[in-house]
Amino acid sequence: MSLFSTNTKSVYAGLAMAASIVFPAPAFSSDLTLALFTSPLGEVLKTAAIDPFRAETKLDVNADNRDWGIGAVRAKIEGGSDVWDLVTVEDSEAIQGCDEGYFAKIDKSKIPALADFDLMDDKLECAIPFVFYGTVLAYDKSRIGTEPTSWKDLWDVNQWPGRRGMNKTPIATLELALMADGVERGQVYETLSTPEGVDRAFKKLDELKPNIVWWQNPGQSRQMLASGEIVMSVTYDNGIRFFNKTQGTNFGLVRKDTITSVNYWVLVEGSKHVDNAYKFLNYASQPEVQAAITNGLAISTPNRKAMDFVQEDLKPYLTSNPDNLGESLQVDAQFWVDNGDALQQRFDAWVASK
Amino acid sequence: MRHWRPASDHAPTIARDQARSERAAKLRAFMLIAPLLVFLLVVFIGPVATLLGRSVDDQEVAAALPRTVTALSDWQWGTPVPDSAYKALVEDLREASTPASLASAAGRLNYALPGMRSQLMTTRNRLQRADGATSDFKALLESLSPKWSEPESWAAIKQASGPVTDFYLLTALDMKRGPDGSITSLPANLSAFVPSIVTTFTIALTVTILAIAFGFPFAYLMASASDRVAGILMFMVLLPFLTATMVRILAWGILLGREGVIKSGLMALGLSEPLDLLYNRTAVNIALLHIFVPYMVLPLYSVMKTVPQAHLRAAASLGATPLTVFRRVYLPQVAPGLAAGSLLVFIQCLGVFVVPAILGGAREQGLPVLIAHYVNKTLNWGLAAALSVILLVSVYLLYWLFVKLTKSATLSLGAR
Amino acid sequence: MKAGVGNTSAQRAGTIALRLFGLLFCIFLIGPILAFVPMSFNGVALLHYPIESFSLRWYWDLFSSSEWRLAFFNSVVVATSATVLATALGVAAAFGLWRGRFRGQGFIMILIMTPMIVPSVIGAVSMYFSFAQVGLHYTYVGLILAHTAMAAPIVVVTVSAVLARFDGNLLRAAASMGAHPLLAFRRITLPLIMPGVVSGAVFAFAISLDDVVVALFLAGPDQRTLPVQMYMRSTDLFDLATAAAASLMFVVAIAMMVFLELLRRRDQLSQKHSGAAAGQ
Repeated sequence: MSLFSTNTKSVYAGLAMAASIVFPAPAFSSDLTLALFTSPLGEVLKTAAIDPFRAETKLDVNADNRDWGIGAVRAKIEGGSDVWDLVTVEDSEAIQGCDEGYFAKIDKSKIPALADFDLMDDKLECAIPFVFYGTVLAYDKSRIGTEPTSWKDLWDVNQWPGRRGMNKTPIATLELALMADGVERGQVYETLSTPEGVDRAFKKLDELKPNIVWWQNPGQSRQMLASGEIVMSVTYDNGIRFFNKTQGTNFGLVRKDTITSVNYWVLVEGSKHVDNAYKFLNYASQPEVQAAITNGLAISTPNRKAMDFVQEDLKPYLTSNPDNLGESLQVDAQFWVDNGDALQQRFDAWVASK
Repeated sequence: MRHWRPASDHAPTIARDQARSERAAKLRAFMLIAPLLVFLLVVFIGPVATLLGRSVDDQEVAAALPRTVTALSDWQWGTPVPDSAYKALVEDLREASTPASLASAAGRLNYALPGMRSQLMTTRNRLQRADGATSDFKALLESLSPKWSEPESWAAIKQASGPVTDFYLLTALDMKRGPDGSITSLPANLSAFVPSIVTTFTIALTVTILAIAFGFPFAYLMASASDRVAGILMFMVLLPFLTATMVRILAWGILLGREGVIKSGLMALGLSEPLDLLYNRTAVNIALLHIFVPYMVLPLYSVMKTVPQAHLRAAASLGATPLTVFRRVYLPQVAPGLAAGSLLVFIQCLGVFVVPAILGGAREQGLPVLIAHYVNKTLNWGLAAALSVILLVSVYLLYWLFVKLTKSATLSLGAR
Repeated sequence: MKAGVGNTSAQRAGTIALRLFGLLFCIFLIGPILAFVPMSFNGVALLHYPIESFSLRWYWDLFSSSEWRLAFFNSVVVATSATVLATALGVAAAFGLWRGRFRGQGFIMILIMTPMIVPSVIGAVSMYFSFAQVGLHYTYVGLILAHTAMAAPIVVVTVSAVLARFDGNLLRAAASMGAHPLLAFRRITLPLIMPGVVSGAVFAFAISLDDVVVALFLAGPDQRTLPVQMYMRSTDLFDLATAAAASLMFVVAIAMMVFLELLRRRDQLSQKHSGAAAGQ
């Protein structure tokens, strides 16, 4: 790949060999390694799917945090070393990784439960959906006074003075800026596909810029809301419900114009535990397991049959609830695969500028 | 090797033996250095050089589309795209049996021209499904993706045909090549990296000035105190210095937080409006000062200890004002320590990553944060490498200045 | 340098102001870290003052969590191994640099200093790519090698500083009496430069224990060190167990500090170069 690789590679190979004689490799061998998003989703996956799977199959399953290092998957494929088998990814990561061959094709006929799944995309041969959720506007009811009702209110610094938390990514941020600027839900991507539309989104963000605190991990947004560091935040709907339940906070959220995203399981190309990976995917796709994830985190499941096992009191809060879904916009992952590089660069430029 | 001369038959035996044993001693001495040198070359210096190599490395497109690259080699912007190029591209894409064999090239082209990734990928997929019997490759390609009729697509391939490129370095300086090859600067609203470079240097400069402002009098106090007091003050400097940086960053995060000690203190003093102390430049500057001020105090102290009091007294007795004594007598003598301390603080500030990530807002994210971002999130490794080149060149320019000023390559905090 | 130059009231005021400043600056240096410690004993899961009740629950959480235990273990293993390797390589190189007077010694020094000059992000990213190519990332070996590279320069600097005050004639005398160079090194040089070696080792240990950035890139799930675990926690769900871990790391810093101080007192030679002594 690189200019120096032929020489250095052999040097390192020699070094690695020498090193492996001196220091035996750590005796951590597992039958399957999963790389999960950070808590709470990662935690819930552990209790709802991984621990029972481990108990049932007696397989040595290792669950890692993927928060730091999706780049490792690519480094791994270039180097052929073995780290992860199954990884949880976001929609645009799934499309790009499938196109680029980092993720292996999954034979969906080997996972019968998928017959009951929504959100199945035949074009996406290497990923199966396991949860979906919405990007919403959240606030602390105990501090806010009048509750906001739309993305427009995020911009209203007169009625709600103070800083706002936003996810430091152009994805969903540009969409919600357009909606706050009056673009209809259905017109968002049409608008964003034109240079004028992109300018319009950035111009809208300009207005709010002095009041934005960026977060890079949803946990930060909840923590900043709880400590009063910010008055409201763009964040994920299910995390809010989860935080209220576990931390005793009283956060509220705005349902209108939710931007929904899907998370997928992908199988890393070159995995040495393909059979175990299929075993796990089969296990995790069952209605009961899917429902356990939903019950644990108020996050929606693509498995229709799982709804039979979902707690009744939870159903109104779910992104997948027809009332909520009707008010939502799904992230156009293909749009972001095509335009992500350019928009990311412009977004970085905009964030860094005065 | 200064003393070594070729031994001749006429030279006295003693001199010859001496030369030989001196040579042997030098060889032995070098053999002691060699393990560390080889180790660093393999484990650290080699990898850094490899990374820098990535900033100009551009072989993905030529590897995936060899015929197309050859066919475009003589094409000039402004003239029609040669028919041979259409044919070559069709053949190259048919050859790409899996999407993966095309992926890195598609990714590279997408950096230069948004949309190229899916343009190339869909063309390949449709091409492999379609029947091959045609001779009008131009029409075939344009029917698969209309964008092939735009010469910009072809210019992007031509410019990425490698084996080396200035694309990433130009991008890192907010410049780009037009399809005709001319270099232009990006408009201000699109320039991402120069503002980050400015941010990095502004923070480093601010913290260095703060470190001088606070470190200088403190070092002076240490140097003029009794041994006992100096020992206690030294303890105060060294203890935070040895405490893990992460601990200190978290401490500042809690102190400066909305419900932190400082805020409560200010509220108790009658300040009712909640102050935002966290996620801004102030928080980053304070934490960096706390982390790096020992690098200023220690070299200053070791120089100040050696300044003879008699010089100052002599100057004062000759009628010089305290300011003159300071400026004309004291400052020149402590200047080496001041230079060493300033450069140490400045260089370290250029490389900070965790402090802005945890305590800073969007405008405090300098080059190191961007480098990590492009490595891990967007996977644009060429750009990460190009940003590293810029950072490393700045650091080494300063280090060179340091070596010139202190006449030593050693970064040390003690007396020399 | 006991008293000021003269004794006018303005100068007295200046001296008092300087001392007051010194006191405040000491609070600035130590205060933030100290503020952490009582918080970790708070019985309530709140990150603020005043402390509502005294409890050891966070320390209990820390020791009962397998994640934190692994992080402790990893930090100790990695820092100790890296310190041993860096000290061995660094002492040999410092001795070699002192013995031989080469042309190009300045250049060799620049090469040896590279890990201290190159910003840690660049070092981390570089090693991440190169180690990944041979499967060394996400292994103990990789992390130990990386920390060794980062810590070795400090050993060279500290030992060189002590060697600069070492009388080479001692070795010549030993050689003239027929002592083997290795024996001479072991019996004469090593005891005399020992303070430099030990403080170099302590600083090497501190560097490994301090590192977040390199470990963030090179450590896999099984190698996550204490600072990395703290970083991960701080960007997600910060709890007081992290404050307890921070307090423990502060105790380690005090231990290193006391160790260095004892070393300094024992060694009269380095007294005039007090404290940070022989290097950074």
